[in-house]
Amino acid sequence: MKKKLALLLLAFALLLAGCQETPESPVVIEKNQEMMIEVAQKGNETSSLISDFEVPEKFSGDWSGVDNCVVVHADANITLPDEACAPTAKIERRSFSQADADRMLEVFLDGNTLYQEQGVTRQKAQERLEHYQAIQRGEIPWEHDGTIDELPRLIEYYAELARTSPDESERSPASTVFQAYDGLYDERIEGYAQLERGTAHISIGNGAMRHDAVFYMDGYGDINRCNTLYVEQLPEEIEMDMTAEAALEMGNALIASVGNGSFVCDQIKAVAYAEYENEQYIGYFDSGYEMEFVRTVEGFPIAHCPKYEMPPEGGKYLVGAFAGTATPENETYAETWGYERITVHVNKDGVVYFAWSNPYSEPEIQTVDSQLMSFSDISDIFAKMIIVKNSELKVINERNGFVVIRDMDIDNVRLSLMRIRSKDNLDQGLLVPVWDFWGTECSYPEDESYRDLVYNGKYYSVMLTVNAIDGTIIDRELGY
Amino acid sequence: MKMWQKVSLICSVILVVVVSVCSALLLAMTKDKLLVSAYEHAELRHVELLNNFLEELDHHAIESDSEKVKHTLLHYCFSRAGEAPSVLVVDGETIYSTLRFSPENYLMPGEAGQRVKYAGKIDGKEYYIIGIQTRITQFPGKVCLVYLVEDISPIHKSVRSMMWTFTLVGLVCTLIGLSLIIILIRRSMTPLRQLQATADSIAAGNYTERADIQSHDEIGSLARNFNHMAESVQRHVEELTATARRQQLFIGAVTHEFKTPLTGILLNADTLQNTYLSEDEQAEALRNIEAQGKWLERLVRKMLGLLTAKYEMRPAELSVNELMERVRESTEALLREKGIHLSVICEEQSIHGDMDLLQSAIVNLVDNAAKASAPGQQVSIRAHGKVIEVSDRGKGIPADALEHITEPFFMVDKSRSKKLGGAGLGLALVKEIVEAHNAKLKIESTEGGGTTVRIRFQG
Repeated sequence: MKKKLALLLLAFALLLAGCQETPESPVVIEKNQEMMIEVAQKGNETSSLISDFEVPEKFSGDWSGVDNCVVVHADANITLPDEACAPTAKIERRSFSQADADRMLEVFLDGNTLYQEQGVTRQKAQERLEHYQAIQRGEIPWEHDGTIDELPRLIEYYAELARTSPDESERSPASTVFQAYDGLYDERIEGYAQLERGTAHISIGNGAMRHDAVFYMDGYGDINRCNTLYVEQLPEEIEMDMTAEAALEMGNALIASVGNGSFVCDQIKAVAYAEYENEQYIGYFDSGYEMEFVRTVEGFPIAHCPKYEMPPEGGKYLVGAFAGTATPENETYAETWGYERITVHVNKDGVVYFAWSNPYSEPEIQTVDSQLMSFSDISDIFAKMIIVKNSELKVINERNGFVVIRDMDIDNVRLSLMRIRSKDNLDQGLLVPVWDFWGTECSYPEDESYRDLVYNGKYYSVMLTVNAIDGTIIDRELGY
Repeated sequence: MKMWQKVSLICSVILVVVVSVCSALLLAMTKDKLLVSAYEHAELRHVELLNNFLEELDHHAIESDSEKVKHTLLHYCFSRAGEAPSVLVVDGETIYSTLRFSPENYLMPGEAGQRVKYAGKIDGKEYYIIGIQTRITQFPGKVCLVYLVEDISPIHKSVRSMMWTFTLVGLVCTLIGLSLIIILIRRSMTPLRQLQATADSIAAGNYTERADIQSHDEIGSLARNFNHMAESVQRHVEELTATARRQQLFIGAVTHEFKTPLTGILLNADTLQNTYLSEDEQAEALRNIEAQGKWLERLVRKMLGLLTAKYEMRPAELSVNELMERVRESTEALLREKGIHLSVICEEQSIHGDMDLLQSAIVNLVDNAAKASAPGQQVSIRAHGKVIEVSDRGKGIPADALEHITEPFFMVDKSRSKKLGGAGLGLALVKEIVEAHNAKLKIESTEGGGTTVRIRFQG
């Protein structure tokens, strides 16, 4: 009996052992990317991108399509990186490590203590209370969002805060290691420090869909943005307190201290830091420079495209929002993997704003010197695909019932790296060389009577991105 | 192995087999349904993919001689056509693929418009591949293969997970079922155990023991039959016991009855040997010996028949005087020896009965009366109105012994009775003889006041 029982148990054990779950295969890049790398690996050692891939000095042409609703004009410089070889590399999403946080805290706090954010202090609440009481007395006009009927409620609210909020002098040290956080991030380091030049705020957070490190000085912005206006946007001319070279030197030093790879400044612009009263611009109180740093691979930079680097709400974005093709009928949301972005603002005193989003891992080189498609082929592709890509305008016009003309003026064609990914992969991608056709786009109605219905602003961005290896069109919004 | 263990094991094996078979069938059916559903869904998506792709191409018609431009357009339109893992192969060249493997290695559509399918394991995962060869209006010379690949590993994973679950549930059900089976079988075996205990008790001699099982099933029927059997056994045992006792009684009775005639024979023989008798006295003694011998022979035969229920008594009208005379002759030697006087009063002429048995009965009564009397006392026999009574003035019978006095081998005073040669059988025999005559026996006695025994015959 015991023997039979033992045999029975053994049979069960074997059955259970045989039902083990099949182990998952390791993640491998898809065939598209595999083919691309194969093509890229056919490259020989070259000495010049221009000569080997027939890159001219200028790119020019005129094209139209979609019943002449899309009009494209190109008179563009071609910008090539200094490096002669275009690499490809694997890249992965990563979160900020404690080591990253320690470096940033050391650099930004400059030895000062990090304190917990106090929110609205008693002093600030008193300030707001007096402001709203002055409005109530008629000394200041009501110029806020909402109606003046909200005034009694606001007075009551700030009166309560003035009674209960902590004093500015009351503060407790904040943790400098990641703490669990309930919100957009799963873990976060957050606080402020009193530096010689003012109050500094820092936030380093890792979440399911995004990772952000932000530093800013009081008055220069907040966790989401920097209060800047580009100098060319100002109504008046201003005199800069420092040179762009000095700003660049400051920015490079900062990035070298906190970055985890090789970065270069891709764009530097003179900015003014705005002052607002009642949410109205009243002037600027400081000037400085805004720098966009990009990662490089073997010296080859990743392109900086601000339009596509805006973080979407909730980690998902409305497909077609930028292209204007999203409609209530085809509304779909897609998860996204935000592009890495490093923005640095400096003034003569130092860094006033720093934001680093969606850091990448150290790139894993696949090809050092990629075989690229000739520029003439790229041109041919551009000529056809720029029209194809904008062919939704026909659908939009039919839906709207009036014709809108879309003008694109290409002024720069640039070769750089871009991160592409598989449709279902939000953690691993491939850096590939791409041709970005930069230009200005503006739309206007054919019939002027519809002018009010069409946004008449111009925006400057990438009109088309073509994979430099295989000539395929890449949607920067989607990442593939 | 005990019965309950055998039955439990068999039921458990059946339970395991049934559960396993049912689980396997259910799993197989579920898997088939899931796969069929997945296949249908994939086929719909393939149709949708192809239609969307062709629609995109129609929507984005271009004119170009550049193969690279054509490839870029095909790639662009195919990438916008659908979300599913898919592959576009044009003239043998992969234009677009979101897979790690080449489906054309597993599936090659033949004619244009013919949809082909493949289901199998690739790189450790289960896939369902649908492919179709199609022509593109915009590029008429090109052969396009459109593949859609559905990863059905989750279905297989679900089925494996379900198998785990079913195995676990089956195990739990088997254990619970086994426990219930054991409990129920043991409970159902309880009546059998009761029967066994009852049988053991009966075997130990408790013939009145019965199985108390009231169920209406086969076991209840078995119990009832068992009880019938026990009753029959009890009856037979009692009969055998009664028979054995009767036989013992017969042996005792025969032995007992031997004494009186043998005493007469021996006394007469002794007298013949040791006393000078005249010829007439010698002849008388010899006749007495013969009569006693014959009486003895008849008595033994009748006693045997009476006690084994094989004697069919043939009562006849007999003379009471003659009966009394025979009794006198049978007992006079014994009474003379004891110095006891016998008085016989005969007021009845005849009664219906067996002479030899009645003679034995009354001789027994006279013998008992003589044993209870002291020398010089009188024993009286009186026959009147269908009643024969034997009285004495002896020591009497205690009141508490009266109800047992007719039981075989019962003796009021064992030591005295044995000393006097008694075996406790006399009154038992008298009772048997009286009952054989359908008469009534009544004994009246007071301690120290004598005893009267009456035999009342039916009139």
